[in-house]
Amino acid sequence: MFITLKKEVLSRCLNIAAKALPPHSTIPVLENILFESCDGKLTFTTTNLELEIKVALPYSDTETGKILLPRKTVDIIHHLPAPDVEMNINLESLRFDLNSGPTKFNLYGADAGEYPIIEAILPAKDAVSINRLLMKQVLKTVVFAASTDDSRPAFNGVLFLFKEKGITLISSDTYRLVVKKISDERWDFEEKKYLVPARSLRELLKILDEESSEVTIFPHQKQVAFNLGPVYFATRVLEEKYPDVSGVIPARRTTRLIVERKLMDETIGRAALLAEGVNQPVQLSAGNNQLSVRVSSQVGRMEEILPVHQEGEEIEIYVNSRFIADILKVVDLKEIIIDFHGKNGPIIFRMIDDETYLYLVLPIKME
Amino acid sequence: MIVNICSQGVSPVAGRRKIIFLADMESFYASVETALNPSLRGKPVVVCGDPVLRHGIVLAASKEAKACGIKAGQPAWECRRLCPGAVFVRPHMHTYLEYSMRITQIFEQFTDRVVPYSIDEQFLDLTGCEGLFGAPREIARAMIRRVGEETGIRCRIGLGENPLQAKMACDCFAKRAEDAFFELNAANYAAHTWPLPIGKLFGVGHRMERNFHHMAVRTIGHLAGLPREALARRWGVSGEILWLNAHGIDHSTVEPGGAARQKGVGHAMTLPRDYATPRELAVVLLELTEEVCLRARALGKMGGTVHVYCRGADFDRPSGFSRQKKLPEPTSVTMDVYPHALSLFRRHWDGQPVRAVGVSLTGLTDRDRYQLSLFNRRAAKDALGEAMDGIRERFGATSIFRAASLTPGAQLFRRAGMIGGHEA
Repeated sequence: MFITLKKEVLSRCLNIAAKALPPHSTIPVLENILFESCDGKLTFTTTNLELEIKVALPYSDTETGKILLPRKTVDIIHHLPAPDVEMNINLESLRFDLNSGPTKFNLYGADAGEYPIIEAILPAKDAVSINRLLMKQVLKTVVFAASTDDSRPAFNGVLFLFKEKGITLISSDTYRLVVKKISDERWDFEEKKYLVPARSLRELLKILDEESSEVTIFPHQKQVAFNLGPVYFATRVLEEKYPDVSGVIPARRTTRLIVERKLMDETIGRAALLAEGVNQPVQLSAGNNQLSVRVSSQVGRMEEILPVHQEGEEIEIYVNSRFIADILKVVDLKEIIIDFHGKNGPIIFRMIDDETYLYLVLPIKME
Repeated sequence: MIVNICSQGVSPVAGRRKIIFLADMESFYASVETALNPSLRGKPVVVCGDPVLRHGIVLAASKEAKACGIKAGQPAWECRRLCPGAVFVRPHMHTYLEYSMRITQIFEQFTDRVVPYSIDEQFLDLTGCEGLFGAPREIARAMIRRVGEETGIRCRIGLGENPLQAKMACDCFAKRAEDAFFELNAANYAAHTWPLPIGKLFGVGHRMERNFHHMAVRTIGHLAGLPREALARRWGVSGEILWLNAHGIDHSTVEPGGAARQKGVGHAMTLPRDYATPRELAVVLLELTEEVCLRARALGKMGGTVHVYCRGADFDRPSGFSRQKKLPEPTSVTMDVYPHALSLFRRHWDGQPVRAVGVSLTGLTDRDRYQLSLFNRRAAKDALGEAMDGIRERFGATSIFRAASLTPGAQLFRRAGMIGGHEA
């Protein structure tokens, strides 16, 4: 099989496919990339048994067949000197040669027979298409709050709740919570829940480009797939029970601040330099249209005063500085709303003119 | 290194030599027993637990008993063989603690920098006290006299320019000295300690002693003569510390409150008989977890990591493990810690009979400041723990307990009368 491709195109495909390559697997065959050629396209498939990525390239004039490429191929292609790459694949001897300008690589592939067959997903009843740019922004503001600690597996997932005309995304690590709703008048879902691993969504975020085409979601009982045109991204869902979060969000706030996001981000960045321990606490106190951020630690103390727009009571509260920094980094707005709910009540960050998003953080209790 | 040696014992700020004491009580438990019961005076007294419950190990022996060859750590039957006339006394840990604190109070009349190192050893920093009480030798003499008069216990004092020198002065010389006092300093350290066998050096245990013997290092002087880098290469920081010890160099200070910054709380116990069933082991594990959490709560702390220790019963084939696990969030709630302790135990236990188990909680943080959590009814759990602790404090350790403590394997009622695993 003889194929000529642009190095740049091939490299991009392999980089995307590499996101699902397990670094070490108990099943050695998974550390390869499955290369297939049939029906006028070339595909590169990888899986770590949780996440599966399939990248397709249209290519006519070639025979049908498949071979496993070692993971090193990704780096090799990246380092080739010329803009074009010739691949010469021998399916009999399982050898493949890469020629690019003056460079020749003669590589050993492996038999694809051992590679797990991943069943193609049937079109789902609730398949839904969303603008990619929107999807990227939504995921960026939701996924960060999911837990990376494996001790409570349910919180390693982002809950996708399909109901009537909307999809609600929920993520939490038990100390904070994000709720985001996207809706569309044309939708009408039967109520269904899917707990999608945040690990997979973090990879999805990396490959979602900001073109204004669409991404289609196929939700299934055990798997949720995202179709991005040439890239097919499918992830297993977590079979864990997700707690009900509706009771957590308080109805009445005591204080509302409107803060300049960039200013606060920089202030928290400075305060975090002194915040120490697991909880990295900073003290926030608001009064007279001023928000003061204070930290004291074994090294010393710092204080900074920010002008804010304030409604409601004065407030003084301790909170993990990282939790504030996280939200201020992922949103791209000039101003942000911060609602307080009393001394030990949650702090809720909201976006101006957007009722569909909230980021709730529980404070540090000081007795 | 030369700079190090020269600057040894000279505080960079004050520019003067420090006066550090290590005071050690002679045959402490046995001396306390003799002080309380003068009829024991002059007799070989052995403080020893109950052999039936496997506590038949010598905890302390009086001067007279030591003369017969009895040493701490020997089994009771061996003592009887060595010294048929020995008087066996059961331990009274509570009294020993009281005596230890009384001695601390005596020392505190000389200096505010007293740090108990063990129940019968205390470090004292007397730098700057010469003007009040005279030369170090005078101060030591006064201390020894007062401890003797007020408690009936003979105290020995080592003097050094740092804690290490004081410890070496006490252990290697003051214990044998007529006046129970000895001084080591940068000038005389080498002359006195270098001829001593390597096993006498602070920090050298049996295993290190054997390692050194293999390297033909038989005295402290031999070790001091090796290049520091050679020790560092072979054993890392701990090798370097031994080299520094051999040169009498120690940069630590005697600061009270250092011990208060506790890293963890733990409890381990030797079971009265070998336990072999998962049920019995689960019960002791729960009781240990409760005890550890109770202590953490009493300190106003909670732990971030739970640690489980287990030792197999078979002496010929040593088995057991010591494993730890990070908790999802810091806690001092017994029933939040217990499932993790139990799962650690289940994962690592080889199913063989067990002689000793232990549980500890480390990564302590303050209990009065913590990150609130969404799905944890923490306030209620904390209140329950506090209520139980309050009842125990008022009505005794067995006034309220978990029902599991009534099932086979439970140790709560037996241990309620003990301190540090010995009779109170």
